[in-house]
Amino acid sequence: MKEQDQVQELTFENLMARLEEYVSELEKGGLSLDKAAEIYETGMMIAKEAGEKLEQAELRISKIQSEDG
Amino acid sequence: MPPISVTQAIAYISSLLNEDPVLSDVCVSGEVSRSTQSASGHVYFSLKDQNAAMDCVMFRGGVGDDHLVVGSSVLAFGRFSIYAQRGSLQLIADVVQPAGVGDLQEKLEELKKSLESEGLFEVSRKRQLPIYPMKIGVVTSEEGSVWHDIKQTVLHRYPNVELVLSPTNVQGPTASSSIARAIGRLDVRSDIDVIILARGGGSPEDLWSFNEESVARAIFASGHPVITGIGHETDWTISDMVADFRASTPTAAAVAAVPDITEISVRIQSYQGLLIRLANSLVNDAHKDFDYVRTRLESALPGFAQMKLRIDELANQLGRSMRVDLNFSTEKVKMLTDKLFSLGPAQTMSRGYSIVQNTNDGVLVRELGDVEPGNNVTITVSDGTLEATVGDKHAN
Repeated sequence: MKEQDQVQELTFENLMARLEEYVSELEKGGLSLDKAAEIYETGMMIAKEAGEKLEQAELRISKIQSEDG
Repeated sequence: MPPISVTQAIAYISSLLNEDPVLSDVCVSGEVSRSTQSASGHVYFSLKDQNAAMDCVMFRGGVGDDHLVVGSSVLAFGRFSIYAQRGSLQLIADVVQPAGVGDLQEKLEELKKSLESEGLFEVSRKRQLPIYPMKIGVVTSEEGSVWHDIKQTVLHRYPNVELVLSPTNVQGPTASSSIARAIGRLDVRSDIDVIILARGGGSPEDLWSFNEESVARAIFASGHPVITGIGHETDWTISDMVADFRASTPTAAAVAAVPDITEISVRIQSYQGLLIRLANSLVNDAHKDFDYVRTRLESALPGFAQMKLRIDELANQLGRSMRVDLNFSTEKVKMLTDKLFSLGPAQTMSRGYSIVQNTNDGVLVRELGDVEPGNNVTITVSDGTLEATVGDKHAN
């Protein structure tokens, strides 16, 4: 699913921002059932992706070489 | 002039010393020429310069007695007093510090003032820390517990990052330029989101490189926000003042740099719950709207539902009745025909009644006014007709 790929490419920060956007849109109300269904679906997908990213996260360490002497 | 006693003389001089604002609270700089510690813990020493010398004592509990090393230049803070027993002058020192530190303090204050006037400490220029950093630069010594503590803190709090170590020494005369360069190496990378500048606890001398101008300017010039975690809770260096965020320790700096993964996890779950609840309530609202419309429709067409039911009922009944009635119909028709026949003129006439008509126009004679005497009438009886002429009329 194309949308699924798009979601996976988002940074964690983007995922959280989108998720919060969707929640507040639904909270505002006044949406058609179609739009609400769309937001619900995409929102849940994003939440799942964010949760997975967190679960699979592993601390990475790297080092910049300092000059000698 | 009246004589005074030795005691009185000493007492008088003593009071002069105590009341004199300079001599009762003084800072003397000189070189330590002698230093001995008594069994009681007091240190007896002498300070000298080219032209003069004096005896001093630091009682047990004074600060900085480890600086009372023969040959070192010191600043002694205290008051002058007369040792009554011998009438000797001495400086009672409460605090002794190396002479160099005094200079350093002065230089530090000057540097603070000049950097502040340039705006390096300006609160408004301090940048927001990223909420979800992906790469964190760490400027600290590779050896020692600080780097280890930072790694551990981040590992447990929010492992969804990469820590990029830019190693440096954090103490000694070359440290300040090394620190500045280490910050610079992170600066050229565009993928770094925030920098932690950290050093463990130590004496003011140990932390001194973080008071240097080169480090302050490197922090100020950094394109990425800098979090400092230097020394212990109460240590404030110039680096702390320039930083975008000052944490009290290296571990606190790591905590400030990343969010709490547990808290985020909970938040994601609560968002999911919200999405479900909100979507459900929208669907429920839609249902309610639909029911409302249907109710209004029903009330606009009263008995609409019942009508429909009734129609269905009747249709069924009709179906049933049709089958049954077909059987009765022949019987009924015969019965009705009989009844009709019995009510018809033929049966009536056989009972004795007759029909009278005007012969000329066939109009029925119902009443006296319909004919005149002499009119011809035709009388129909059960088996035929009679021609007659009207005689006299008699009303009832």
